[in-house]
Amino acid sequence: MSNNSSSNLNSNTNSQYIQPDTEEVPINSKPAENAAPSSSGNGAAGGASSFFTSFTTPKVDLSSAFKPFAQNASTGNNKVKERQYTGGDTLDEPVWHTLRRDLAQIGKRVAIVVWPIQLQSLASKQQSRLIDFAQSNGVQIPDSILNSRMRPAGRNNNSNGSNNFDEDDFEINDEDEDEEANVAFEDTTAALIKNNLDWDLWGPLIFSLVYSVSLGLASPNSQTNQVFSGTFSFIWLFSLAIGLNIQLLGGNISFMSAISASGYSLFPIVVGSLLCSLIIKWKLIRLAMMVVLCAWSIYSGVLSLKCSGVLPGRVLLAIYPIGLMYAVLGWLCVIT
Amino acid sequence: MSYSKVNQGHNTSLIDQDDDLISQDNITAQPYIVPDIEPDTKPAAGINGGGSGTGSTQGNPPVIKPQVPINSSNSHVFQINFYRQFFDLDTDTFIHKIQRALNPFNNAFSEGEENHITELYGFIWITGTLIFLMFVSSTGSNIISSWIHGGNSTEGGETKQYEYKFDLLRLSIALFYGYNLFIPAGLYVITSWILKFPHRLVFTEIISIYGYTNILWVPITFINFIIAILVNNQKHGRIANILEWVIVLLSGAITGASNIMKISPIIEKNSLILQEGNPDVNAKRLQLGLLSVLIVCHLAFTIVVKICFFGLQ
Repeated sequence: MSNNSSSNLNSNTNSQYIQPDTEEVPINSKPAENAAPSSSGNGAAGGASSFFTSFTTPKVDLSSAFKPFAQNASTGNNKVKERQYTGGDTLDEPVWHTLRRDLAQIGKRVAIVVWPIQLQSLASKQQSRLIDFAQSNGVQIPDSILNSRMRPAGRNNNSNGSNNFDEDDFEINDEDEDEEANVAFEDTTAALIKNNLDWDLWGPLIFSLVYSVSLGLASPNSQTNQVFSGTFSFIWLFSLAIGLNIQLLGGNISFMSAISASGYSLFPIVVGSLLCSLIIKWKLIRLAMMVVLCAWSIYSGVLSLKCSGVLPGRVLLAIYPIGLMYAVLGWLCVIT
Repeated sequence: MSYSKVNQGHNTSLIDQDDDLISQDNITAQPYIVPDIEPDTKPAAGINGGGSGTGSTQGNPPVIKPQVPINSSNSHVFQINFYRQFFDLDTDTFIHKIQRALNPFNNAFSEGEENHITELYGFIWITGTLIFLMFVSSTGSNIISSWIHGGNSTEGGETKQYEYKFDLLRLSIALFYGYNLFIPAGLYVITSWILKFPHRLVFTEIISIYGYTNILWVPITFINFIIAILVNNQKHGRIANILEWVIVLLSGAITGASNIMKISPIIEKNSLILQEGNPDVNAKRLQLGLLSVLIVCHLAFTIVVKICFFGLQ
């Protein structure tokens, strides 16, 4: 949101007339909500001043219309949720800016895939949240998971006065402690969450195209068309199957988000396919390389799915088809 | 989904574009919104462990419902919630089922209570895995044999490299999914609508039986590699061919036996009941007829598998 700076000015001048409820607005809520009281209270004058200060401000700010609804219940409800990346206000800016922002978004997500370990803490956090959620909603959870989670809490009860209290503090889920941890957690990883929960299909589209083109070019002439169309449709049909599978298994992850996550995790394999078709001709080296790259893809896929919220106890079932798809694609690279 | 609109009020229905999602933060925000919850319900549910489904659901107001098949029986066929009942499965259950399916001669499938719904996850993904493994085995063994044994065989001045056929992948997908889907469908149609069995076979259960049996095909994919390494396909093509026939027919027999073992008790029970109701029906002949049709189909399938993946030569 680029209009934040200009509209903050207005809200500062206005605050003596109208008391904005900014204390209750959570940290990473939409900045548009800060701008809302200005345009609603000031009417025409405020609108005109913001119009002259910057041309990037939207002329009609619909978020003020939603303000009364958003204020009623606790606003903390809608802080973090997965959504399609909309890119903000793109009407008045050069095309190059729009493209660059989209490319930067894709680049950030690829960076997460390349170095997936940064999602580790986020994933474990989300999983423990989901276990709480499932318990309080009466969903069956395998005993093994519950036992592994029960252990730290039980140890804490036994050894309240001992040294490892700090360590246990981190793991038990008392309400206020959980809340404190949440605030710190959201401060550090808010950007990560945002990058991970936004979904788009640009990355999967680009990756599947690159993959099928490189395989099609590398295959013998009689099969080029067939291999290209076959692999391209295979990737997308398999992605649909994966998305449906995750939806049916449950959890709170959307269809498109699952496809996006599995598509972005394809990146190491795409690199492998380029290397195989252009440089490396020896099949044993290809095999070793593709095994490593497949493991990499699967690892990053597992982590991003865990962050997005597959029900614990079903993560293996949800990830297995993705692993299968990566294995098929990797093997096709090897034998081409 | 209508429940999220009803339960979360008008604020979220305006902000949430997609009602299907549950916003992530509800999970932690829930104890603060909902005043009815006692603060000690959550630890109690945690200590209870596996039996948490009974205690905590009662006093729990419907804030958000998980997308898990709690009540999918009253949803429509065209809603995704309807199909969630076929995917109600945990990892532990799945592994247990696979272990049970590894033994071809137990008929634990037939002991379930009547009309219970069997999940389809196993059918879909075990069959998919099998297709992948067969493809890998077929192409990989060809590559290995041309690499180990075929280095000195020249045709037209240059060494002939093995080129895989992409068609094989499509063909195998059609073959395995088709067989494992259409034979149970045919069996279901014949038994429930033509023969009118009093205790109907459950369609998903037959599919699931066929799907889990596919695990027993997996060993031949590894044996095939060993054959490709040990036997020179160019010099001793006949020996390799015979060995391939043997392993394919053997695993075909094992999988067929496994299917028959699991299906025959239900057919036997039904045909006996039919015989009691109508003296014209010969239970023994009916049962044998059905089973022999299944066996013939499986034999044909086995031969097609051999021809597709290993060639006729």
